[in-house]
Amino acid sequence: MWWTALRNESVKILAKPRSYLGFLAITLLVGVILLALALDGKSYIEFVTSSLQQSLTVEGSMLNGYLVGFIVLQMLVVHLPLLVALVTGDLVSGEAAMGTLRNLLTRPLSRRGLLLSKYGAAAVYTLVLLLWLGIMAVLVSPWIFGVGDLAVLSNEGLQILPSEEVLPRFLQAFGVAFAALYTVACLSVTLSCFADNSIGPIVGTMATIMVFTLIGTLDVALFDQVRPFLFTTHMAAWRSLFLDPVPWGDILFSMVLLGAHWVLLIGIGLWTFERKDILT
Amino acid sequence: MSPRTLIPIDSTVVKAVDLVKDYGTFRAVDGLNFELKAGGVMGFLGPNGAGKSTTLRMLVDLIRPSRGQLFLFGLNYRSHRQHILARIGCLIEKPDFYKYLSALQNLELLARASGVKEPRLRSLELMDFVGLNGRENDKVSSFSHGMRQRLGLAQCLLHDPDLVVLDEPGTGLDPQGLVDMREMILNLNREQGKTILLSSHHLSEVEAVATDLVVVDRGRCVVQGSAKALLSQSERQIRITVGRATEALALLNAGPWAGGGRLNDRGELTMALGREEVPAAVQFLTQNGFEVYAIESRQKLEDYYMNLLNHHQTER
Repeated sequence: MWWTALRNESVKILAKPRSYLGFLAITLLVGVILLALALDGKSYIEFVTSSLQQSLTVEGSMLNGYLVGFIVLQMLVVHLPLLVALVTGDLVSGEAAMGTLRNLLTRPLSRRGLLLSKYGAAAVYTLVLLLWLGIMAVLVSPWIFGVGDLAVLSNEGLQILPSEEVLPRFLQAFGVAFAALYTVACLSVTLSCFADNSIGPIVGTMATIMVFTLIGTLDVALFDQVRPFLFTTHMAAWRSLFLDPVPWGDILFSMVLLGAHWVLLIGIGLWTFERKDILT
Repeated sequence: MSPRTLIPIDSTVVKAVDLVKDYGTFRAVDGLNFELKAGGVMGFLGPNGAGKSTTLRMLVDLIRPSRGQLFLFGLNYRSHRQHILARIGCLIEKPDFYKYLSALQNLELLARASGVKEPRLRSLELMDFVGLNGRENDKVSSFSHGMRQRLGLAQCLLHDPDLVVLDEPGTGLDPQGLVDMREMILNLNREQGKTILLSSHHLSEVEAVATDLVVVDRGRCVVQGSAKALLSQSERQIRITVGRATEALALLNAGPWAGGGRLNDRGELTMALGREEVPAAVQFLTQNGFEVYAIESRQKLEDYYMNLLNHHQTER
């Protein structure tokens, strides 16, 4: 029955116009970035590497499809939480507002099974959205700009990754980015269990991300103990996959922490939903 | 669909024992007791705010009772939720659907959720039953309220339930729609053997189909019994069509029949009178200059219900 419920959730997501907003937004934003870099990419690279120009001589062009893909990811991954929350924040509360939750909850399917199917559908949607970003960043960019070694700026300085290493690292980076984005999806589905309209969970998710990000960036001793355990601290963990050597210990900690967030958020969602009176 | 056993006639389908539901400090249902036997059509009546919708929502596990016990088919939701819901179909308050899906897609989706083996076939069958054939592929957003009510009835029959709970199924229907809905309810009960729990403010519709009645007020059961027995026990109502009905009522209230009459929603004077009192009442009216056009002796659910609630509320 869980698979049937997951299928039903997927049918609804596919039929809802708002589900396509994220794909449209990604296509437009990537299009703008690609156009800008195609027209004036050299100036952009010069600006980014200006501090290194005294000590570094580059032969050829650093601008290639992999670098553009990396830039696209860096620019867009911060916007994806909103696009994810737009759909996942609506999964329970939107049905409550429409009155269709009544129809679903009077079927011979457990509340737990129904809600887990919604978390499952949220995972599928997040994955597909991220895949679309991946296609745009890692397949379309190299098609336009060609491939080459990837130059990445980090705290350690400029690192050059050979082109044959880049695609596997992108794949792993998408895995870590999925873990972070699915945490956002779990948060919005869980908030959705408390509300009877979809605005609240969407705003609530974004507000949580903003507050946690602020706590993460404020250099206050009080927050030092908390900071490593906020999921927002690990939203950019995917970037570590482009360091050499890869800090696998840090990445593992990020993945475990994000996984713990999934379990906690899904647990809260189930506890709430099992006891919720459906009054709409 | 989960396997099920046939329900013997006269077995109890619903049993509510001291059912209580509190919303904060407000008590919506206050120790409600009633029983529904298999094979009947129970009219579940009460004024607005009496706790009808809250009770119906508890019956289908949309809300949980604060206290008391609820048994459906002899089972409770705590241990047999899915088994019970496999045998109940319901239309609660208003028919809500996914507006961005077609009528058929909506039914198919709910049929799958109900465990129906051939969701498409069953959905088409029910669209035909409720008179919506030809509109299968139209989006629900294009449906009128009446069509949504019909679709609402179809969705609650998808898994061939034993008990059908209908909350205001006639709301927003035109006269033809009301007649069709009544016939569908009778068909479900008489031809398909389903037990029906019907909550409605359309008393004439309830009267036409109900075999049993439960009247609730302020969260409590005021009366329960077979419709026939309750109506025959009640005082016979005399409906008098008289000119200047309001003045006539005031005169009667000031005279020998004080408190015995009232005006119904059509402005007619109705009184609870014994057969031997009728000539005297008519003479009293005509002697005081009122023109009496018609006298009708009847036992209608509407009169019974209004008298019952008036008495109950006066007693409280």
